Amino acid sequence: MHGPLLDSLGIGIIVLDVGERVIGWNEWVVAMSRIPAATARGQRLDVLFPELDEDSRLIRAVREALTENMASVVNSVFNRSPLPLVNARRGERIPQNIVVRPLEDDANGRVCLIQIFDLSTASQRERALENQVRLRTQAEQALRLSEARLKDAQRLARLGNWLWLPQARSFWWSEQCAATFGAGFDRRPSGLDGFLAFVDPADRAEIAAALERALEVGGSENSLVLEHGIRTAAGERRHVRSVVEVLRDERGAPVSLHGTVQDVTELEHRDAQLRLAARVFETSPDAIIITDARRRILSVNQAFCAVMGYSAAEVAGKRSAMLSSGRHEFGLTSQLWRAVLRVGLWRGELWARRQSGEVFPTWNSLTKVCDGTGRVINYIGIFSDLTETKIAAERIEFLSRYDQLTGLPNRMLLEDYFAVARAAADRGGHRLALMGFDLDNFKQINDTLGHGAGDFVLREVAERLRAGIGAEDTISRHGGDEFLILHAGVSTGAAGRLEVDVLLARLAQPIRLGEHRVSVAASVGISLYPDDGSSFEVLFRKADTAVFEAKRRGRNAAAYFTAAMTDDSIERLVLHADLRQALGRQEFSLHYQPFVDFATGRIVGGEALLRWTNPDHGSVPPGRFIPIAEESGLIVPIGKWVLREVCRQNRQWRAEGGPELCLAVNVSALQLRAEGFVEMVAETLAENRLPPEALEIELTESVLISEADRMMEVVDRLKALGVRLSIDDFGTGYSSLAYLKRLKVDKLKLDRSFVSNITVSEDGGAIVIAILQMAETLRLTTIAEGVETIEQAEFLKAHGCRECQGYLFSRPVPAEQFAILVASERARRARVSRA
Amino acid sequence: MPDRVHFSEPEIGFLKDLFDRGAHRAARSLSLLTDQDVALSVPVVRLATAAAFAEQMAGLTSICGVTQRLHGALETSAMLLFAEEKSLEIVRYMLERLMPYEVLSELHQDAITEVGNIMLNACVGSIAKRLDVVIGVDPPEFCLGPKESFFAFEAEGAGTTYLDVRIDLRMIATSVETVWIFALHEETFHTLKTLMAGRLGSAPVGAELELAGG
Repeated sequence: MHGPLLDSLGIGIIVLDVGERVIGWNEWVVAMSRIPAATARGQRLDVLFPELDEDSRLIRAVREALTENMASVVNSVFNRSPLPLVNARRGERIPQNIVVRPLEDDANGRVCLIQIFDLSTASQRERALENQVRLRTQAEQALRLSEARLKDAQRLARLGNWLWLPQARSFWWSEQCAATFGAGFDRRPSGLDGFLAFVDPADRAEIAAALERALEVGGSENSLVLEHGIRTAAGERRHVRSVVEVLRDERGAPVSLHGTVQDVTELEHRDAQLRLAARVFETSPDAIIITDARRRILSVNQAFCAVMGYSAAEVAGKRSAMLSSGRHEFGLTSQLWRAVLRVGLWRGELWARRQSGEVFPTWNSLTKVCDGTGRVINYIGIFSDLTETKIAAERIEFLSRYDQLTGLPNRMLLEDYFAVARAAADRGGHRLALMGFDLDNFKQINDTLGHGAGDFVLREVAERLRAGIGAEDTISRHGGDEFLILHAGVSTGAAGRLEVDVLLARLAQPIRLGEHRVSVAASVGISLYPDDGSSFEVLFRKADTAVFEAKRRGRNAAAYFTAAMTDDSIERLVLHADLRQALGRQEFSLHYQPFVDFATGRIVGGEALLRWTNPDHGSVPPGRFIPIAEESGLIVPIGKWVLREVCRQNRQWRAEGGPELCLAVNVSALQLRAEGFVEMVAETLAENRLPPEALEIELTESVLISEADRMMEVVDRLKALGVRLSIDDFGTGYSSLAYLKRLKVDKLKLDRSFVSNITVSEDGGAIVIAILQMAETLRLTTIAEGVETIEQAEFLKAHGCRECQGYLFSRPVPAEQFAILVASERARRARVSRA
Repeated sequence: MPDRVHFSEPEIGFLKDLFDRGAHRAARSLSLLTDQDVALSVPVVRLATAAAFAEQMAGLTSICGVTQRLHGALETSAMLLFAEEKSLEIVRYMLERLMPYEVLSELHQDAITEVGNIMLNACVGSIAKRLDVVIGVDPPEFCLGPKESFFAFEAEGAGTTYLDVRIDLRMIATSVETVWIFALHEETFHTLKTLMAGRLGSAPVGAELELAGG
């Protein structure tokens, strides 16, 4: 309030606080009152100017301003000189006009501003009164303008008039009338016929008839309103509205016809546009609402009624605010109205409320409509119901972030959660675990029971895992049968294992699928943050590697990621690449391990075992490369080569006069599943002119259990060929003997783990005896694998085991050695028999 | 004028009482100012349309007045109107000076502005006090011109109702009728009704007041 600005105003300024004490006193007042600002500050006016008393007009005006918020003028007319201010140069009191007004000041609250104008100077008087003379000038100007405006109005209205005096046969038209017809004022027609010549030929007969009726003596037609087309002198077609009045004498004869002609072409056009606008308004699919300047509803369209549930009559005259949901951020409404007033338009989303009370999203355009003077006369709101759009958008958002089948977050969303969890882990100094779950036998479920059942199992697994994790943990499915759990409160070591075991136990509970019950097992791989990496990508990859390891360890198990796994993975990658080349480079060879008949001691056959010798890796153990071949599908071409090689070898030995041995090959599930496997076996046997019993196909239990129906069919067809079938590693799987019987297998190969336990524990021996007895009952041949000691051999023989295979007799040997082995055994037997 | 705009008899009585008190207070101020007895009374308070005013002033050519804008509890414009000749007469009596017309004319504007200001402030003060609300008043503006221009100047449109307050100003040997007009928009109208209802102690219902010119 203080400072140079007040001093530069050229008028007196005094500011009083609410206690009527001076807080502002500018240079002008100092000069006129001769009271320095420092003296004045803090004083009351009646102290500074003793001639002012409680009743003086100025003091009362100050009080009204401060206590009643009222402004006053106090001037010298009645009050002589309201303040004792003296013009130093002239040495006389100055006449004043004082405006006293209340003011709200940030620092001081309500203050009283006193503006003092010196009426002895012309400029100040003008300034004091400038507002007060405005009206008179305006009024005078208005009067001067009115005549011109009337003329303008006529012109703007395109209203011309004409007069026909039938008795005098005199026709007159106004300038505007002539202009309407596009003719000069002087070129007026001589009579009505000339006038009618301007009427559009299409309307002329009708207009002529109407005028004729008006001109009839004693006629009753005294007032006509006609709308018709005209042709201007230039040939332009326009539309006019004519009003004709007839004045008659006492006999009823027409004395005069007065007519107006108004060009309504544009009005017609505008009418057409209005009709169109009305039609658009009514049929618009968007809700439209028109309000007056005070936002009271004037009109709404059908779409509005449909969307909002109100009838037009229910909302007419109501405040448009009734439609608001009250759900917006504070200040939005005032912001949008400010925008509408400032720029004329606001667009955006709002929540509206239907009559039913339902709140729903809308997309809105709000515009203002101004009259010619720029004053707002209407607001138009157009909005559409975004409910459907919103639902669709939310669905898209959901689909992009969630797995559709299980409703679990997908990997993308899990990554987001991971970022949040990582930040929390960093703050709290704890670990995070990323656990990959891969269902072990899901494919089997999907293939045997159908995709519907598979989907059901996935949902059930999702539900069980979800129920088994903590509130801060997140579970996601990322394709197929793989789940990921982001686990926040990580325990390592035994406790961590326990947590995983609990989850696996949950999964292991049988799931009922109609009449079936299936159990689900999973291999779990775990990577830890920050131990194994900091990015989601790295942790994910490492968890995946650990899953692989868990599967290798025998499924339904968990493995923590270790650096060795990475080395292992790299090695596997390299092996995989080299394995692809191995067939072409002829790096494979076959070793054979003999089957010996306990009863006769004869070599009755042998198992072909694949060997891979690579220039870089040297001799690669089957345990390393066979799983890779299985995973990559390379096992199919390799298996085919093995089959051909075994048959070729058998043929060769037979051709060389060797014994008619039965050679066994291991066949994996992938091979069995491959198209044309049975045909390929038949062809290979035929090519080598071998009887089917020269070939034994070894299958594992797991191969037979997976895709049981399909396998049953393939096995049946192999059986029909006449080849022998054996079950490898018997006792490690879950197949029932009855099932095997149905499969019509010929032989059970007792797993080496049973054999090695025979002499270690009584239980071990008992299990073997039970298996052998059952096999006997089912009339299945038995062969024991991994027989290494005489004790084992004697035990097996004593309990009815037919054949054996193992280091006790021979390790697997190359084909040439095997041939020698067989030959020497035959020679020995021949010697024995000769002896 | 919209049909629903009306004041009941008790409301009109209440308003008349308010203006009477205001006029009494104004008269005291004017007496002090002019050093002579000034009496003000309010014979009529009613609602009227702009058209009705124009009709009443049919005989006048020029009027002068003071307008002030009210804000706060009541948002409205108030106009104090005098026939121009009458206003000159008031000023002459008030100044108690015989002076040439030219000089009088020069003082006329200042005098009427201040007199109008005093009357209006006193009345508004009385209304605010009685209704227990705060009503601010802007500085007065002097107007002089043909009667039509007053309503054009207001530019509030045909929908606005006016509160027509007749004031009888008496001093020495003269009596002047002045007209006091408060423009009442719909909202202002209802605000005033609500405020009065609070004071009258009942809902604002009652016999309809016949509208001047309505």
